[in-house]
Amino acid sequence: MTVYLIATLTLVAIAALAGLALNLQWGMGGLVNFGLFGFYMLGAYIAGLLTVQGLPPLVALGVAMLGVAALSALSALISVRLSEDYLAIVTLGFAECLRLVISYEGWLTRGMLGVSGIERPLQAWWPRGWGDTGFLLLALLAVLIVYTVLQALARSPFGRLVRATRDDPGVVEALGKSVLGVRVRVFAIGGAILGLAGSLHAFYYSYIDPTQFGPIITAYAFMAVVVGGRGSNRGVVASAFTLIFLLEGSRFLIDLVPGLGASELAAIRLFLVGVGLVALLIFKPDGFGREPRSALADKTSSRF
Amino acid sequence: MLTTYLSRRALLATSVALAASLASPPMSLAQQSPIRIGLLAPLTGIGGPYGQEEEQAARAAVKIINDAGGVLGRSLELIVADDETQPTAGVAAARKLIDVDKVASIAGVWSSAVALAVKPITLEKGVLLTVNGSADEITDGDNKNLVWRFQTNGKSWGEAFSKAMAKDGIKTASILVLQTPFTQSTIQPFRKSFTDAGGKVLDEVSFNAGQPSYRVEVERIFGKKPDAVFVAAYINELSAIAKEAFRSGYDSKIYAFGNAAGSNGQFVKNVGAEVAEGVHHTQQVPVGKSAAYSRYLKEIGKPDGTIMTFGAQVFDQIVLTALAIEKAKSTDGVRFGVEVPALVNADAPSIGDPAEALKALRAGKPFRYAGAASDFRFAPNGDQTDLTFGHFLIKAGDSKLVGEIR
Repeated sequence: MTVYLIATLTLVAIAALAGLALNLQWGMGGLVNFGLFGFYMLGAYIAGLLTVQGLPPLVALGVAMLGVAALSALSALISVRLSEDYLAIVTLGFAECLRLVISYEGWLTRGMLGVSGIERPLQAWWPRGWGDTGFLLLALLAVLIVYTVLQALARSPFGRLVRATRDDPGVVEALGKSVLGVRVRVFAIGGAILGLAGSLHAFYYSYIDPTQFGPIITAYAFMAVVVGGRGSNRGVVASAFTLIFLLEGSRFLIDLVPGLGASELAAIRLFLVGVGLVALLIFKPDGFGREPRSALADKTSSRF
Repeated sequence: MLTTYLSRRALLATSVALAASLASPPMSLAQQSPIRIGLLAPLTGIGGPYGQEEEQAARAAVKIINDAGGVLGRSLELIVADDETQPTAGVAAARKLIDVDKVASIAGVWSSAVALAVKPITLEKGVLLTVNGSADEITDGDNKNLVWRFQTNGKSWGEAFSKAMAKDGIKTASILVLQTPFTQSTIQPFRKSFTDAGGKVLDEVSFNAGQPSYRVEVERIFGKKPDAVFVAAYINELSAIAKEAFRSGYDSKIYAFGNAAGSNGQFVKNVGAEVAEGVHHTQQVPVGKSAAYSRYLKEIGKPDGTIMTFGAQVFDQIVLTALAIEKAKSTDGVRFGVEVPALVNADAPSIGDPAEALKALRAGKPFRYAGAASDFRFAPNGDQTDLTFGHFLIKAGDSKLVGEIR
């Protein structure tokens, strides 16, 4: 059971990273990134392919973060002038294109066969049999670092600027700040975090193929942010935990249901996950946490 | 106010119940604990149409073994998990089977992508992995006798199609292939074998699952009017493509996998007898009369002549796992995995009934197990050899066996 919990906690860490990235882009910045899974997939593929080529896994991870950040910034340049729904469509289209390219360009990505034998970072450090625990520690460390950076960013002047571009880009423009510049930077930072999450995904499974990445990853990230409370990093981490344990815990719940075939139980399990999420939103419509606000913001918000 | 209070309490109660159910250990049934074996079946997702067949077969095999006294004096217990036909969900489900349920083996892995994702974990933990996936990569590398394929590999199946077409006098063919490791692995062998025999491949198009329409693909492939079109896809995509081609009035013959076009009449049910008329399919089949296959059909209450290959493969997987455990006198995958090939490759009288095989094993009599899915043997890398393919043709809503291909 302990081994299983370690594996599940690793999934929590990866989901939390994806959630934190989206919380920066959508929660704080108001940028609807439906193409999240594409950036995540790109991170996994860069890290996976470079590691298989013999590059040290940590270097591959770094390249993946930089690469995804650069591409995110680029896609933001093209698309953030669009308003909310159009941005959502463009990012989704971008991610689907990326998935098709990875599926069909077999010479580079090994196509549908996927990339196998991806080595995990620092595996030699841990004693035999402790590899999974070691990897979990590494993933938790990554979450801690990202969380700290994002918390600092949220409290910094730049964080206030990001929230301002979400709430009223016109005012920000009038004050002489570049909204586009802010958005490109937000997309780039979010992209780097998604690259990190994707790399960890590749290292954890040690095998990646295009069917592992789909809009469902985007959906889980949005769920994490909605359940966690838009703008609250602490809430997002807590809700990533809830989400994965709902998904995994339901595997055990159906073991207790007697007299039904496995196919029915499998369907019931997915149904239970849905019911659980709906229940969460009914009982906690604002999510687990709140966006940190300045005293001034609290005063002004009461006027609206 | 009252309602909020009650709902909160209800929420609390549910979460406590959830926590309690997570914490309580799984109940043990027999005085001596049963040997647990896992089935990682595609109960939802694109493999969904085949999941139930797998579960039924696994339960049938477990029941036959348990009725014959179980293995090592203990009964077998089957734990079923859903892989959602998706590698990440498959890994999570496999982890639960291995780390929580402590299964000795995992059977029934249908999707090649799931098999490739689960393989590193089973190798690390020394759990036997028996798969239905065809992608050649599954059996590549050093698998420590832990990975066995109960399915033809892509190469043999691709060649079987070219032989079937040659017999039907097909000169030109086009290929419509779904993007999965298995379906793609059949294409190169098919092309090579077909062109070597003097045929000509006009065009090849690959496509993704779950498209709203296959019109563009169908127009491009059927529009060139090849004698035959090899549709390398599963039942849902094949159904959509066959309907589209019929509606547009194309008359190239469709050749498809038996598990898609046969699938126990499901394809005919999906598209109707008129559209299904004249669709060819090939499938690895039991040679002549297989005792194991009859025993399997009897146990699940299906009439003779029903073709359920995935089920038969899972049946063989569970039976051979049980026999290997009994022979090695160990539930450690690394130790009983070694016994798997000798159980089918031995130069000894063939036995198909699992109960009799178990009896012979206990009595120390030499025998070999003749499988339900096919009378196969194992190559050292874990692939099956000596497979026979049946060539079927759908006529008036029924699949008729028109020939055998070796």
